Formats: sequence, C-alpha cells, structure tokens
Amino acid sequence: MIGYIVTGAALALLAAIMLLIRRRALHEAHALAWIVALSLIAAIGLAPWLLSEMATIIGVRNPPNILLGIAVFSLTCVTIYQQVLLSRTDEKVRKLVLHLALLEADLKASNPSQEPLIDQEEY
Amino acid sequence: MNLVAVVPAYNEQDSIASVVRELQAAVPDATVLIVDDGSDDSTAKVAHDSGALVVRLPVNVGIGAAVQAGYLWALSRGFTMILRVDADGQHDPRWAPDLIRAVEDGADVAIGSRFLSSGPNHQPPALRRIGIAIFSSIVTLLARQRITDPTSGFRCMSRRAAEFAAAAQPFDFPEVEGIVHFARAGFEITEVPVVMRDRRHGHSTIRRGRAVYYALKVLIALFILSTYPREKER
Repeated sequence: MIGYIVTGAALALLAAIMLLIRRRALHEAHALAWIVALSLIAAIGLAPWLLSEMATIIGVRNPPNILLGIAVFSLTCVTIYQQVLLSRTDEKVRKLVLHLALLEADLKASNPSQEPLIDQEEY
Repeated sequence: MNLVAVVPAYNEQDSIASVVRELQAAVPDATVLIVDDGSDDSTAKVAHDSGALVVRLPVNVGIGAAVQAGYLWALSRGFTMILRVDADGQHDPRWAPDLIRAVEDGADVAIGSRFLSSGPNHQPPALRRIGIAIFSSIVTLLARQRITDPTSGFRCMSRRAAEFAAAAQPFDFPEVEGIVHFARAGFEITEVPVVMRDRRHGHSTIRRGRAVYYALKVLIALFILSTYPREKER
C-alpha cells in the first residue's frame, strides 16, 4: 500500500511540475533533475521488491532507508545545481547592470536632459 | 597624464560632496567620477551638484561591480591612469599624488597602506586588524611580495592594469583577491604610505554578520586562487 502512496505522491508532483512548465513558470532545463528523480521514485513505489533486492545487496536492514538516502542525495544534487544556475544568473545580471549604466551615462553625456532609463523606485 | 578618480559610492550623501571637493583640490587635473551603486539616498545628485561626473547603477550590485563600471567607463574614454578612492571620506586625497607618482615611476598598481605611514592614522577595530593581518600574510605568500594593507581600496593603477582588472577581477570585495590576481599576471605592485581617517558619516557596509561573510568569502577565494597554476592568468 505504501508503495502506491509513494508512486501517487511522485506522480502528483510530476503533474505539478508539468503544469509549471506549461505555464512557463519553470524552464524545462531547470525541471529536468526533478523529473528524473520523481520518475525514479514513482517506479520504485510500483516495484517495492526492487528496494528489497537493493537492500539485500547493499546490506541495509530497513529497505525504506535506501529511498530516504536516495531522496537526500537527489535533493542535495538539485540544490547545488540550482546554486550554480543562480551564480551564473547573478554574473549575467551584474554585467547587464554595468552595461546599462554605462550606456545611460553615454546617453546622458549626449543629451543632459535624458531621464534615467530605469526608475529606481521600481526596485 | 590623463587621470580619472573613480569613487564607488553607496548611500554616501553626507560625505560625497567633501570627498569630491578634496579630490578636486588634491588632484586638480583629474576627472572625478562617482559610481553610484544604486543608492537609496541623494548620493548621485549631491555628487553631480558638487561638480563630479556620475554613473548611476540602477540597482545595488556591490562595490566590486561599481569599481568595474568605473574602470570600463574610464577605459572607454581613453584615460591612462585610474585612481580609486572610497566615498566615506576615510581616504585622504592629499595622499593621492604619492600614489599617482608611484605609477608614473613605473608601477602598474600602487596601493595606499595605512600601516606604512608613521603619521596619525585611523586604527581599525581589533578584530578587523586581526583579519587584515591574516589576509596580509596569505596575500604576501600568494603574491610573493610583502603586502601590508591588502584591504585598502585607496589605489592608483595604469591603464594596462585597469584593463586587466575590468576583465578579470571579482565582483564581490575585489581588494584582497585583486592583489593576487595582479601579482600572478605579472603586474608590478607597490605600496605607498598613506593616512586614512575615521569614517565621517554613515556606517561601513561590512558590519558584524557581514564581516564574517566577507572574511569567509575572501578566504575561500584566496584558497581557490592558491590552487591555480601561476601561468593560468598570463
């Protein structure tokens, strides 16, 4: 029974991710790690003997612990991956800010009455 | 000499006018550029009204990025020498000519050191002094030359060094790491005695919790730098 619950929960999360992608709230590239991890969990839920087999091979007494271990490891990987993406985005935003400011300075030099391109109050 | 003084500023409306005036008096030939790092106050307006040129970043992106914006601005306008001064009034511009002279005499980067000066000088709090001493030892080791004041932002550099800094230096807290980057790329670095004063207005952006973050971030960056082969940046 617990296997079906795990599969159901994983599929529900997968559906939520698909919905977010469909609404363009989440990019496919960023969702990839989640889709792979959730598909794996859904498959294990349907075939609990897989977990028991793995537990026997590895030597884990309580098979669900493997699931927990995989979940923690997957979450850590996804978090690190997100931080890498965040760092990249951070770098790009800073470069853009610099170039925007320099362009604005050029514009202002040629036209002193030029208003700021971006209203700072908006931030 | 075609000199620009780049002053990164964040919420320094109370001190920026006197910094601009002192710079204009100390180095009359210099163009004074204030890079307003997305301040919430009237820093940009006060700086402009004081006679400085202003580049305004639309959002706050940190001192490293603000300095880089200043370098890029200066390089695109053909300046041959760049002086960097903090906006809080701690750097006494009367010592700027000594830094400029060091670059004219052949150094690529001249760093103002409060620890080489025998005059009355601003003494950082004890914890910060310990931090500076640790950074100083590490930077001295990595740069293979004695650096007494690695956190000093009071600097002058040649166009060649500014071109390198604009392309290669980090966005966050670039002072300490920057020295190692310069040294490893073969630039000639010299330290010049300067006097630093107490901050006149406002408060430092590096306070308590942020000081711990700053120290850790710089230590990690220095450790990573130490793993690069020296040839990497040439």
